[in-house]
Amino acid sequence: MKNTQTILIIDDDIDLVEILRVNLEHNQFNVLDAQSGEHGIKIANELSPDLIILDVMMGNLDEGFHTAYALRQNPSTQFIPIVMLTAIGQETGYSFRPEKDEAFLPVDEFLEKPVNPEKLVDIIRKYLPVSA
Amino acid sequence: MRNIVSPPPERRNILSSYTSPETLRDRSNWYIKLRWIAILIAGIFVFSGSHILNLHLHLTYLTWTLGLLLIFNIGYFLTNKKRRALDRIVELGILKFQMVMDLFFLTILMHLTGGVENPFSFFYFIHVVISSIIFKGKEVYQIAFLAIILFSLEVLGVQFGLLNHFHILSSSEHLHDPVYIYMALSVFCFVILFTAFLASNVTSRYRVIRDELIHKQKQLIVADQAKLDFFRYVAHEMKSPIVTIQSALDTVLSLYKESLNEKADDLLSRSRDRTQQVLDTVKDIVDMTQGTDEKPLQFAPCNVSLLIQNIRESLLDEYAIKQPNIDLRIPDDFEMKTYPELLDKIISNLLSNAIRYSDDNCQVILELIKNNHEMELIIVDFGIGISEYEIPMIFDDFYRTAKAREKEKIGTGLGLAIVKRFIDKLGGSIFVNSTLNEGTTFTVKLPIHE
Repeated sequence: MKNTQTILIIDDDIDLVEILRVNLEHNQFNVLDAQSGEHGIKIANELSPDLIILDVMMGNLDEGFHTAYALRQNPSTQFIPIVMLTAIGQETGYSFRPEKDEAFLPVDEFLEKPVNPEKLVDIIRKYLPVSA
Repeated sequence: MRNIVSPPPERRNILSSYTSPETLRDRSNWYIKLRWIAILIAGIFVFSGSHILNLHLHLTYLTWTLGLLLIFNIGYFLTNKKRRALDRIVELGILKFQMVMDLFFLTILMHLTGGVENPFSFFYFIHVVISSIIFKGKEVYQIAFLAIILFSLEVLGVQFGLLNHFHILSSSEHLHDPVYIYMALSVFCFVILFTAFLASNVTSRYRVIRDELIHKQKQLIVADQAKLDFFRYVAHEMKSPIVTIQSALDTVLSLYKESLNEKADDLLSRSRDRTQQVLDTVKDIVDMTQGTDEKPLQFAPCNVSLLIQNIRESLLDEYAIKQPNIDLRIPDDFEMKTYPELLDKIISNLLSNAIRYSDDNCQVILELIKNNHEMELIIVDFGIGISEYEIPMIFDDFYRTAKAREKEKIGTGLGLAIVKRFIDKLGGSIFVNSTLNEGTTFTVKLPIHE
């Protein structure tokens, strides 16, 4: 059972990227990474990953949100599922509860860090089921 | 040598702020109130003087004068009523006009009641004291000098026969001896100037002290804000590295558990638990400082019923191992305006405490009662309870009851402190009713804003 699905991680915390990479590669995903929103959008455009893991707060507050909007507005990336990770809780004024923000936040999942590694994989599998 | 008493330049603004137009208008109103009393007392003096002491008073003239003063005060009262403060100069002018007119009225009253024969001249001192409360510095001396001029004109005018003299005593010839007049005038001048000096000195000291207090209070607010900023900054700085450490430990423990030797697994698990402890505290500190930064919280409509249902879902997920039974007794689609983040934290913290400090398969009840202007949230558990002597302490920062520490090793002791703070911010109140080993009921009352 071979999985060749690719996940792009956009996060400026290199250590966290490596930790996620270990988990995802262990689960047979290909992993790409980008340290900024701008770089992430470029890679998403060129390499069309199957899913994007996006950090809310890189460099400046809300960069993750702007990146999410940009990805959704671009025809070539607009259908890629986005899992958003945050370490800042409710302070941004954006709630975690997806029901409340569905219309507002253009992401598919919104998770608070640290995310349990198995739970993260379970959530990714919702969007990228293991191919037969 | 530097004069350390003198306030630094930026404080001058604060010091001069008490002569704002609003303050002056309020003083006008106060002064008008005093005048009602003065008219009443003058009326009583005139009445008792003529009817009880049998003085030779010219009641017609006196009634006219007091009546005119009454009409003036009615005029001041009507024009001052509920009006907005005008320009500072205009407000000062209004006050000065009233003060000058009062001195004229006083002089006329004094003249009609015997001039130097009558101790009515003491009332000039009251005017000087009042003027030191209303004005500052040179205006007080202007009023004092005007008092001296009017008093001297009356006394000298009568002495030199330019003004008609109204006798009120049967034998008062000695009072018109030039030596007596000279002594009365000089003592009057001296005492009135000295009164002006003392009164303006005392009131200006009072003003300095009051402004100092206001300034210190502002400094305290700034210092408190700086403290909160510091806490928030530290919490933010600590949060991301801790999250990364925790993620690394979780990943190792979940992916490589089989290949770890038993001791390594034990140590890593212990590290993970302690990291969780630090992370909980950091998160609580972030919560505590919520809304204290430049970005204000949003006061917005909130579907409280939905909020509670969502909290229930995430708690059932978080405490899946304990299998709690969360019984909601809430109206459908109850909406109100509030700070949703704060309300969320209040309910989440109280409900998660109820689960944490109860046994597995516990029952927890959350009831929402909607009254006219407030809503009541009642959270009931059948857990460890709180002993009577510990109840007053449970809302203190970092306080955990003995029983709670026994039941759950890890806990920040900040949960209820945050709840209390947020309820205060929402203008509500919280009550607790508990019996050790039987359970606890928290009742939260919050105002409803439509």
